[in-house]
Amino acid sequence: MFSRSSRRNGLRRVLLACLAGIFVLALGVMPGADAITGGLAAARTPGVTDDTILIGTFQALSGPAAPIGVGVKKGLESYLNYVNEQGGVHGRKIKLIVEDDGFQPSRTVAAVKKMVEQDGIFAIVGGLGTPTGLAVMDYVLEKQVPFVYQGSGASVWADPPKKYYFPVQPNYTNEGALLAQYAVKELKARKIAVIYQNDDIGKEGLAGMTRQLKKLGRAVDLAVGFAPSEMDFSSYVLKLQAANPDVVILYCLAKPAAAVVKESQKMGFAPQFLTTYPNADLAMFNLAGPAWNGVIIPGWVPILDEKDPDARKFLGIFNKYYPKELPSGYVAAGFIAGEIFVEGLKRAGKDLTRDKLIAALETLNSWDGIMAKDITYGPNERSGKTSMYFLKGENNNYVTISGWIKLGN
Amino acid sequence: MNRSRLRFVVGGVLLLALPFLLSGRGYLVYLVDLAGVYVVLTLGLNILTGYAGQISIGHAAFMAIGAYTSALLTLKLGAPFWLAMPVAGLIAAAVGGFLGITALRLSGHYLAIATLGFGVAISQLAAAWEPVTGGFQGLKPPKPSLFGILFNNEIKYYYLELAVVVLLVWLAVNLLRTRAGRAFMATRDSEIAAQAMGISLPEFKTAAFATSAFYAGVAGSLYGHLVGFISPFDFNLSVSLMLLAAIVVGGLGSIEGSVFGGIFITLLPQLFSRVKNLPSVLTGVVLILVVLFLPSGLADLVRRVKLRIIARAGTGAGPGAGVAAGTSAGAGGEGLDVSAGD
Repeated sequence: MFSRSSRRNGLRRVLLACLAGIFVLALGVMPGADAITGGLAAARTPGVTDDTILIGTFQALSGPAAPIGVGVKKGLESYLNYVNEQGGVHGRKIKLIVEDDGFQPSRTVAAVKKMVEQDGIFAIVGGLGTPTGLAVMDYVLEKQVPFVYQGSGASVWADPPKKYYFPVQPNYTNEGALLAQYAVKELKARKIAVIYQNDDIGKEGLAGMTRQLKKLGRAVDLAVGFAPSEMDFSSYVLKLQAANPDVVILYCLAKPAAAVVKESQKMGFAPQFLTTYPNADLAMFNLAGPAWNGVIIPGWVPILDEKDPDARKFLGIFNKYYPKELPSGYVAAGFIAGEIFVEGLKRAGKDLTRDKLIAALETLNSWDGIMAKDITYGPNERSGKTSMYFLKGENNNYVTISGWIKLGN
Repeated sequence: MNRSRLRFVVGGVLLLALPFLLSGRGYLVYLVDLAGVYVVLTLGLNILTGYAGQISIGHAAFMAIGAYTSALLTLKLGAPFWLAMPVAGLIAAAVGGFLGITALRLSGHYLAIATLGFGVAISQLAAAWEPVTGGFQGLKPPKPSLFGILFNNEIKYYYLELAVVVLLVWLAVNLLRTRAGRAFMATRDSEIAAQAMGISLPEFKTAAFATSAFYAGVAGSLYGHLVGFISPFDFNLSVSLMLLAAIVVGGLGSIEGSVFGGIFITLLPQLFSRVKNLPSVLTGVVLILVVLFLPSGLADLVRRVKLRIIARAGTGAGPGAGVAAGTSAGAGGEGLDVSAGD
C-alpha cells in the first residue's frame, strides 16, 4: 500500500492530515460532564447558581494593545475580589472568566461564543476595542447577553441605544461636543481651530464639535486633518498660526498632540489648547516637556488625589491585590466596569435574571460609586457617562479647574 | 489498495460527521470553520513560499482584498455568494499577479520589504477609503445563501467550507504535479538552472503570486462571511506573520504541512486564550523546536512516525534494528512526490 502506484496518495494523505488535526482539537476540548448538566441548567438564568454568578470579559492580554487590556483586567479583578471578600452580592460570589483575544476580531468571536455557549456566562463585563466589539455585537444582542462597559470611545454602542448594552466611558462624539461647548461658554473663544487625526477617533470628535457649535450658532473656524502616521507637524502649525485662533482643539492622541504643542511653542504660537481625555496622562509632560503646561483636558475617571477619600479607597483595594503598583487610567476603567455591574446586581435583588439586571441598571441616576461618578441610564437611555470635569497642566502636573460639566443644548 | 480506499472512505465520513461529533458546541464548530479559512490561506502561501520560493510578508493584504471584494459584491450589488467568492479570488489573483511582476526585479530581503509595504498599504487603504470600505467601522458581510439554503449557522457553514477546502486542496495537489508545479519548484531550487531548462521565470513567478493570491482571496471571502465583520484590523501585519509561522511549523513545501499549519495557528491561541501570554510563548517555542529538530515541519514528524510503524510491522522481529536505523536516514525518500524536503 505504500507503493507509488496510487495517484490518490497525495489527496488521501491530505485528508488524513485534516482528520488528525481535527481529532487533536476534538480530544483537547471534548465535552465534559458539564455538557450533560448544561441541558438542565438552561431552564434557569445562565451563569447564576445559588452561590455564584459567572461572568466573562474579553481583553487583549497579548499583542500591541496588551498594556490596555492587562490594566483593565487588573482593575476589574481587584474590584470583584473585594466584593467577593465582603461576601459577594446577595450571597453569591462573582466568578470572572478572562479571554485573551489579542485584539483580533475573529478571535473575539470565538472567545465570546465559548463564554456564552460553553461556559454559559450571565453577562459580559468589559470588552476591549472597537473592531473586536463590533465583530460580536450582533451575536451578543441575538443571544441577549447583558454587556456592561465597552472599552472603546466609539458612539455606536450608545447610539442608537441597545437594550443589552451599557456603555460607560464617554464617546468621542459627545466629548467633542463638550469640548466645543467649553471653548465657547467658559473660554469665550473668538475663533476656534481644530487639528484632528484623520481616523475614526478624530472624525467622531470633529463631528461632535461641529454639531455642538451649530447648536450654539457657531462653527469650527478651521479644521486641519492629518494622517495618523504623520511625524512632522511644522506645516500644520504654520497653517493654524496663519488663521490666528485663540482656542485650538487637539483631537489626536499622545504623540501628535505633544508634537503640535511643542512645535507651537517653538514658533511662538500660544493659543489656549484643549485636548481629548486619553491625553490626561502625566506621561504627556515627558513627551511635550513644559509646553504641556496650560493645556486644558477633560477627564471622566476621577483624578487620584491623596486627599480624596474615594481615591484612597480605590488605591487601598487595588494595592491589596497588586501591592506597590501605581494604577493607570485603564485599571480605574476596569474597576469602574466592576462597580457599575455590581451595583446593578445589588439593585436587581436576590432573584436574579438578565431582565432584572437590565431593569436595575436602568434605575441608575447620577449614581456615584468609588471611582464611577455620575452614571445615568434609563429605558432607551444608554449614554452612561456624559459629564466630565476639566484639568489644566500646571507645574508639570494637573490641577482640577472645574466641577462636573454636562452637555447643554 | 483496498485499505487505502477504506481509509479514504472513513476519512470522508469522519469529515462529514465532524460537526455532529462536536454537537452542542457551536463555538468549536466555529473554530473548525476558522481553521478551514486558515488552511486555505496557508495552502496559498505555501504554494508561493514553500514551492515557488518567493517570500510574502504581506499576505494578509490579499485576504483583505478578497474579503472586501466579496463583502462589497454581496452587500452593495446584491451578488450571490457563489459568484462573489470566486470573483474575490480572481481580483486578489489579479493584484497578486501585478505584485508578482515587481517580484521579478526583487529577491530575498528586497522582496520581503516590498511585500511588507504592500501589506501595510492595503490595510491603510481599507481604513482610509471610508465611503467604500466603511473605514474603521468596517463592513458586515451577510451570511451566504446557495440554492435557497441560508448558511446561517456554524454547522451549515462547515459543509459549505468543506466543499471549498477539499476542492482547493485537490486543485493544489494536482497543480503541483503539472508542468507549472514542477516549474515552481525548479525556480525555488535554482533560478539559473530553471532558466537553463527553458522555464520562463517571469511567467512562473507571476503565476505563483497570482495562484497564491487567489487562495488568499477566497480565504478572505470565507473569513468575512464566517466572522460576519471585517475591518482593517483583521488583516494587519501580525496576521501575515502568523501565516509565515504556520507554513514553517506545518512544513514548507508540503500540502499536509499547510493543513497542519492552518489548524495549528487557529487552535493554539484559542485553546490557551485564558492564560496570559501562553499562546505567543508556545508559538515561539514550537517554532524554535521545529526549526531545530523538524526542518520540514510537522508534516515530516507525521511521516517519520508512519514510516517507523511500517518498518516495525513490516519486517517483524528479525532485522528490526537495521531497518529502524535506515528509516530516519531515508525518511526524505518516501513521498517526495508531495513534499520536497528542503
